[in-house]
Amino acid sequence: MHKKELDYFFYPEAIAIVGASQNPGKAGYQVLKNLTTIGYGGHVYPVNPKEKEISGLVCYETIQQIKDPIDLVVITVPAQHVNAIVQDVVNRGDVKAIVVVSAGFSETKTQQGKDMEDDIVRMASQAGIRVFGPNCTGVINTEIGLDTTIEPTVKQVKGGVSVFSQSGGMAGSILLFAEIQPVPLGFAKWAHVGNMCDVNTLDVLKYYGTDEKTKVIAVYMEGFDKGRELMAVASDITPKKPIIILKVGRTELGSKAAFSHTGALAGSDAVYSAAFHKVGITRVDDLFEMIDTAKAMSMAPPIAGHQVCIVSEAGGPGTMAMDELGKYSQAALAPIAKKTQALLKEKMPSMSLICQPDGYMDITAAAMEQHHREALEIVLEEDSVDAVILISVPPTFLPPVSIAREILPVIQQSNKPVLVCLMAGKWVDEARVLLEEEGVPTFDTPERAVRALVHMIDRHKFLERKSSGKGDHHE
Amino acid sequence: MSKALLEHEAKQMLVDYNIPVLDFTFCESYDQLKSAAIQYGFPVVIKIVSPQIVHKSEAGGVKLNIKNENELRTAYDAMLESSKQYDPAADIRGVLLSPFIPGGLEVIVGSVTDPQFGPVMMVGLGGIFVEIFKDVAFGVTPIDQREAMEMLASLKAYPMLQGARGKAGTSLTMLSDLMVKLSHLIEEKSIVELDLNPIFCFPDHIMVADARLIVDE
Repeated sequence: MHKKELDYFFYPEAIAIVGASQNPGKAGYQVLKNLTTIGYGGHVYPVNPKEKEISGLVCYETIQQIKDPIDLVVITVPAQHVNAIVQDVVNRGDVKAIVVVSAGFSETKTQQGKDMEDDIVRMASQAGIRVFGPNCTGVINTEIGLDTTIEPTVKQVKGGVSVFSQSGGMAGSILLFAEIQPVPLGFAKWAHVGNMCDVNTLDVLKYYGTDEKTKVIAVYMEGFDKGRELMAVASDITPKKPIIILKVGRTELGSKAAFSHTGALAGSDAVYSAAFHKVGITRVDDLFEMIDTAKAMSMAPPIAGHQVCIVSEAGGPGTMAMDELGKYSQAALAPIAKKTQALLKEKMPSMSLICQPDGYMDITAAAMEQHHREALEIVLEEDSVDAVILISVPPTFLPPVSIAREILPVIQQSNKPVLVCLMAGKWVDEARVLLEEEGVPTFDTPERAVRALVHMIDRHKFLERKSSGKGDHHE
Repeated sequence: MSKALLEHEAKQMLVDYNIPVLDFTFCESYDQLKSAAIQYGFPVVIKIVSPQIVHKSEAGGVKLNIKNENELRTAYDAMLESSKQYDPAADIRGVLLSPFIPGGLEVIVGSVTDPQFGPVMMVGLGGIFVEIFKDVAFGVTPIDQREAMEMLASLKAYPMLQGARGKAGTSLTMLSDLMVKLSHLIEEKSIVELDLNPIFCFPDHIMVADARLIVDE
């Protein structure tokens, strides 16, 4: 492939790990383990003067001793040794990218730490080398089984979501939360850039923006000083793919914590919201919402309007969904034609409450699997309905899997999003797995399904604004 | 360096951008003030004009509802006196005269320069809505008509702008139009901070009653 920009981080052909170790307590052990056991097919060269061999691989005393070409170097040694190693890497002349895992630089807020970091950037930039970190865990690329991180090893599941985080802990947690979904939410690329001495938030966003494997971008952000540049980069991307950002600093306490953590000025929260809204960035408030929204946007077809039909087999959970929907003025219940209402009354169990209020169906616990299917079929046919939230709390006499099997073909044949909430826990797990394996997103609770859908509606409205704005320019 | 414009300078800049402003005349002497007041017709309002006196009310520098020539003379003398007491070093340039207009909804539109995002516009309903409920909407400039409407619609007090509980609302088109023009002004004139407080809003017209502008020079 013709490599450009950050490709050397995400598609390296040969990697040296300086600080590779046999000791499971060291970062150099974990990085080597991830690079040799997950499925990375390129060359891996451990470097450590104290070892002759690690995990069956020849261990090199210095990076110069490696005769074969190397394009990426991961450095895990203590901070005081890092700069000398960067110089060695520069001297080799073939390396294009460095990940500095080691901590103890500008994040210590000492002059010495900052000077060392500036020195790394100076050496690397003169040699045309890009640097991730320091104080970072680097990158994952599921396409080639690459993992330079010290994050807890999760099973790599390929998918369209790419993750970027200003916090290593949150970066790892996003993966762990993605993994505990009924079917692990697949991801494409993942990056944690730590102190951002060279490669920063915008570089990674731009890279994901043009990356073909990335369909949805999920970001954890504490703050960014160049707000207008962030807006400019984002507005190039959001018309093509969603950017979901979990931006902390909602409160004064959160802002203070963010500053002491990454040194980021969290900024005025309301201004961030206004800026994100303007360029079509989807802002979420917590990890659940991030995973739910990424799941909905990456699995379901895009919504073409703002009118929602809620079909619930149980009154309470249905009411919770309605309560949540009522919070958002950008969404509305879909008005259902009288003829369709009559058809539903005929087909659904006799005690069903159809369109009370309009657009809301309580098909009651008397509803069997075919009722779930028929209700879905009928409302999806309705022109006014842009999306359906289907909720069910299957009773003992109705196996959840039977519902899943029955509704699956209807959802797959429709070009409208259907968000499914089967409640709850182990009782419905097999059914949710069945649905998600076939590309139907499922949610733990009705309100979480609603929130994810509202984000889809916001994105639809943004795209609509964009396309009508374009029309104006031609006038 | 940033510099606060005097009120009549600020208002003139708004007028130059076709933003509706309550009539005003800058008067450097009492004679000038008197003849201008007669031309407007009573009642009138006068405000002190001095670069050093930012909080005019605190200095006794605002007199509302002046009904005749006698009251005008008294108010003028008292204003100069109290302003000198407030800040003996103050350079008093004159007074600003406007017609006194009661009633109407009061809207505040402001802008600040955000450290991350640069110029940001803010809108809210005057009085308790902004001060107590913090019911304000933000927009990163430039703001177009649709965005201005969206900002207004996101206010909790939006129904009051539309007219609620038997009270008249105002023209949302005029208000959003003002915001769009202001957005151009902010960008083109390097406005660091701006405060239009209040803007009197009636069903068929709106006008800026007070303006504070800080420009970057």
